[in-house]
Parts: sequence; C-alpha cells; structure tokens
Amino acid sequence: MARTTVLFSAPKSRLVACVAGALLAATLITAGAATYLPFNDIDRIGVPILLFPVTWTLLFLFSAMARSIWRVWLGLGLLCLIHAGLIYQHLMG
Amino acid sequence: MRRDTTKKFYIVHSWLGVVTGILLFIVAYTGAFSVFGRPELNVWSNPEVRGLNSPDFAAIEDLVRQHAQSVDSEYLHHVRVTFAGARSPTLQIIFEKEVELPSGRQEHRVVAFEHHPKTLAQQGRFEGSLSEWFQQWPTDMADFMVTFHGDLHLGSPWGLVLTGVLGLTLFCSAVTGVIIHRKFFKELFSFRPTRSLRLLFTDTHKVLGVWGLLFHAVIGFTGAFLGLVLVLLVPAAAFVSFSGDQEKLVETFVPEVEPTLTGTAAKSRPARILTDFSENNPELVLIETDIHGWGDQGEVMAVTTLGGDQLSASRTFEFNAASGELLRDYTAFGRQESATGVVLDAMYPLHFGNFGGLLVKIVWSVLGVGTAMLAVTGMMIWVERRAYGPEGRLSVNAYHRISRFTVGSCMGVVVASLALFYGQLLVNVPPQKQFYWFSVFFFGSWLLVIAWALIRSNSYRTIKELFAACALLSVGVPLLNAVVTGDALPLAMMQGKWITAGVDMTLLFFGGLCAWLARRLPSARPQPRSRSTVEATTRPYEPAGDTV
Amino acid sequence: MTVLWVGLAVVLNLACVVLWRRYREASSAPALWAIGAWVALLLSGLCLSFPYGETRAFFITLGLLGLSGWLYVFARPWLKLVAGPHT
Repeated sequence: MARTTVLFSAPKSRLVACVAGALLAATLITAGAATYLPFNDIDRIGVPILLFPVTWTLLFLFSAMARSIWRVWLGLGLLCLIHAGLIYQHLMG
Repeated sequence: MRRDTTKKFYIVHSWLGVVTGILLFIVAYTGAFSVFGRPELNVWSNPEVRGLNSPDFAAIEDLVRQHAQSVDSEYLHHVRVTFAGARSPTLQIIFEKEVELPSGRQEHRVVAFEHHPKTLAQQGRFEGSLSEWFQQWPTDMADFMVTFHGDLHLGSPWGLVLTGVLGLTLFCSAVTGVIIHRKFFKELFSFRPTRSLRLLFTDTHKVLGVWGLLFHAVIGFTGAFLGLVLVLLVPAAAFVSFSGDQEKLVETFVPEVEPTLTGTAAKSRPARILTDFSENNPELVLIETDIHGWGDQGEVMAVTTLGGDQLSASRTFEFNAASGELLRDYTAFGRQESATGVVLDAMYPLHFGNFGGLLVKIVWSVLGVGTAMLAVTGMMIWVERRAYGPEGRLSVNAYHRISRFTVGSCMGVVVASLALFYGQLLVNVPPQKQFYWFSVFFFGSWLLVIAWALIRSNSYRTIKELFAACALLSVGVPLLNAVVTGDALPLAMMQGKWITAGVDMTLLFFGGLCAWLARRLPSARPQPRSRSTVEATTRPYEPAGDTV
Repeated sequence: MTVLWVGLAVVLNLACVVLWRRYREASSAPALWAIGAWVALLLSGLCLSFPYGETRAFFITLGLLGLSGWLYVFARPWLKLVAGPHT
C-alpha cells in the first residue's frame, strides 16, 4: 500500500538492516564491550552477554523506525566499525 | 507520541507476530509441556523409576569401589555418580579423564557403568568419548519434547539460533506491544466476547498480553539468551577475551573443582556423607555427586542438588571426602562472586519455572499456554482484518487458506504431543531406535492434522473436531498406561507413585477440557449481530487505545 | 503449612485484581481501592515469602497476578451470563 511505503522508506534495505544488520551490530557490541566496560573480569564479559536481547531489540527498533534508511546504515555501520576496531586493538595487544 | 510513529510500531508489532506467530505457538506450547519434562514426564516414561525410594548409598559406594578397581588409575581423578530419578532413568557411575589429541585439542573420555534404579543390577558398560556417551543416551518422550522445544530437532547451531531469534522477537513484541497500547492500564479489564468476532480476538489478545506482560518478556529474554548463548554469544566473547578458547571462558564462570591432593592415601566415606546430607536436608533433591582425587586425603566430593530455596538450576555442596567436612556450597554460577553470576543462575529456572516445586511449575505452564494463545490470537486478528476488512491485499480464499494452515499447525502440535505418550507406551525398540519412532509418532500425526485442516473448508468445525480428537487421545493415555505398565490410576495412588498418578490425572483433566471446548466452540464463523457491529468490523484501522 | 500460605496468597492476588477493577470504576474515594489493591498484592508476596523466600516469592507473586487477571477477566462475562440479568 502507498501509505505503508511512505511510513517505511526503502523497505528491502530496511529489512536487511533489521534482520542482518541489527544482529551483526548487537554481536559486535556484545563482544567489543568487554574491552571497555569498567567492571571486574567476569562482569566485563558477562554483562554485555546478558544484555544482548536488550541490545538487539534497541538496534532492531532503531532500524525499523528511523525515518531515513541512510541514518540506519550510518548508525549500524558506526557501531560495527567502532566495536570491530576496539576488538582488533585488543587482539593486537 | 505522534500518530505515524505509533502506526509504525503497530506495523512492526504486527509483522513480527505474523512472521513468527505459528513458530512461537509451537515453541511456547512445547515449552509449557516441557516444564514438566524433568522429572515428572521422565519418571512417567520409565516405569522402572516410578515410586523410587531414596538411593541405597552404601550399596552404591560398594559399586563405585568395585568399578574403580576395573578401570585405569587415570580415570580415578574424576568419578561421577548420577542418581536415578531427577536426571536419569538409571544409576550411572562414570569415570572420566582428559586426554590430549594429536591435534592439540583436549578430549574427555569416559568409562561408564549403568545400573538398574531399584535392583542396582548392572545393565551396561560404555567406553569412549564424552560426546559419544551423550549421543548414545536413550531418549524418552520427555527428552524428545524438551529437545524439540530447545532446538526444534534441528540441532546446534541452527536449531538453537532459530529458537534464540524467536526469543528475541517475542521480547521485541512485548516492548512494541507496550508502546502501542500505552494506555494498557485502561485495557486491563476490557473484554467484550459477544460484540463481534474481531473484538473478541482483539480483546483476548490484549488481556493475554497485558496481564502476562512480565512473563512474556521474561520468557522472551531468557529464551533468547539460552538459545543464543552457546552458539553465538560465548564464541563471540571467547574470540575477544580468550583467543577463541570457549572452554576457558566457561571455566571463568564455572571453575572446575580442583582438590588439593596431598599424595597421602586415605579411604573416603561417600556413603556416610550422602546419608548424613540427605537426613539433614530432606527437602533437597540429589542429582549427582562428583568425586575428585579418588583415594587421596585431599579428595573432594561435590554433591549437586536441584536449586532448593535459591533461584538457581542447581546447588553444589563440596565436602572433604575423607573427613566429611563441608568446605563450601554455591549455586551453578555462584562460585565466583559477581552480579553476572546471580543473573546467570536465574536464567534457566525463570525460563522453565523449576524453582518452586509443583505450584510454580503449574503457574509457569499455564502462563506458557497463554504465550502460545497470544501468538495465535494475534494471527487471528491479522487474518480477520484482512479477510473481512479493508486491509487485505490477497483474496478472501487466500486468507482462509492461511487460517486453515494456522489451525492445522497449531492444533497439530497439540495432537502430536499427545501422540508421543502413545509412542512411549507402545514402541518397544532398542534405545538407539527410540528417537526414530518418536519422530514417526510426533511428526506423522502433526502432518496428518495439517493435511486434514487444509482439505476441510470450515476451520471452525475443524477446530471442534481436533479438540474432540485431543479429548479422546488424552483420556486414552491413562487407560493404555494401565494396560501396558499395570499402573492403573487407583493402583498408582495406592502404591505411592504420585508422579505417575499426577501425570495421568492431568491428562484426564486436559481431556475433559478439550471435550468441553469441542462442545462449546462455534461450528461456523459467528455472524455480526447488528449494523453498528458490521460497521465496526469494516472501519479502517485506528491504533492504540481505540475501541473498535 | 505451605499449602495454607499459598492458598492465602492466591486469594489475596485475586483480591488485588478485584480491588483494582473497583478502583477503575469508582467515582468516590478511588485512591482507597488502589491502595487496597497494592496492599493485597504486597500481602500476597509476603505470604509466599514464608515458604519460598523473598527472591522466589517476587517472581511467583507476579506470575500468579497474571493468572488471576486472566481468570477474572475471562470468567466474568460468562459468570454474568450464567447469573442472568439483574432485575
């Protein structure tokens, strides 16, 4: 319906962002957050893992609800890049 | 909130529900069933475990000593005794060692002895890897259903990923549901069953959702975690923090018991320790005991029980096996003091409702059926709006076909779950072939119901017929149980086989409920009662808090 | 003894639901009904804390609240139908 297309721009790209982008970003955040959270060894790893469902939900709803698809990919892309960078930095010592 | 934003949330909520609705019903219903998987349905499925008394610890200790002499000394570093009842249909005495493979990987190897739960006669001996030991484990109908709930029998990783993602969508649906029905305190008591069909579905969905909101959110959250933790989250975290070594990550949260071995020989007294422990803690259910450092003065005995008064799947009590001194006790993830451990401990019991005995299991199971009904009423709303409202893009027949498929899939899993009871009683094959025959009973009956629903033109009549079939199947199980095992309901009660009697009585009650539903449900789609109601069912959508 | 505490908790839970409904419908002194509902819920949790401890009682109380709500809301129209119209 025309009304639905106006509500959700670029539906196919948005679907990819919601399904794959949110999952990838949430996973990278879960893994990468352990490099900067100011907790003890166990909570540093455990807290992001426990919060994964919340992280994914927020990213999924952001991907679905953001007005512009560019904003969606920019947001997800930045989060992925930042956390991938932190992970790389941590692995390289 | 702007009207467009609310409408977008509504569309997201709807599409999440439509895409995952049938699968969510299946997983939620089988989950409600699985709440009683261990130990109730395990016990019902294995007649030799029915009416089991407390273990004979002295006799078990003798068996352990006897077997210890027949295995290599390397296997004596870790001895496990799994008691029959809560987790296993037989008594298992397992000797375990760790070997390094040529590839550098560590492998756990076991020599396992199985004994009859009552006579303690040896029934089998196994030698091989730990994973091979688990693979050859016999499956009963309870294990079949619990595993189906966990991974839809698609195995790891894809089955777990699917159910984990389903948990994520349920959690997200709970969040979006709250956002679009932000006046939900007003809708707590809104239930108008006689105004119109669409209103009946809508009000039912809202009431199920609002009153059960916290439960649905907790189930979605814990389900997502339990599904994804081992296949996605632990590997990802291990990659960053432990160079990919997942075992090391797990050991950080659940460190292994490491006894301080003295090199001095000493005779341990596991039977004495277990007897005293059972007498002092009659409310705790023993699952297993692990003995580390057999025969040494520093030998440690870790006794694991169900959670007791803690919100945890299990609780462990460590004793010095020679002196009997209690060293410490901790929950599954509680050995290292951390906030994460407390929450991790709560995940499994909050999901399966096995933290407060029978009452909590009944509450959780009924709430779980509510989650299943939430999914199916959402589907009904979607079909009703599109088949009989202005929103449908497909033909009315197409929506009817979707409706028939939904009926077949959802009622089919109910019929299939009852068929499993018949499979358990009637199939008499070697343990390795049990899974195959359970699959035949379960998936075969499910497919038959789907086919039946698809060829019938009147879904309402199909639902009545299927409820009638469920009533007959349900009532037939206790009768067949009496014939096959001799445990007729009155006899089981007289012999103190309360779990068996409880399962049979629940099936009789369920059968009665299905029979009542088969009588009371309408045979055709109710017609609109008045002109105003007709207008209400064809009015364009208005979101959140509206009264249609 | 556990059965007694649980029975009392269930009754208090149902009372919470009924009182909250009264609060929604009340034209006079509505706050009293709301206070009554919250007190009933807290007492229900207290009753469950004796056999189950505070942590488990918290979750059990909320679970029971869901069931009580469903029971009350779904059963009420049918009970009214069976009772017949008031003269």
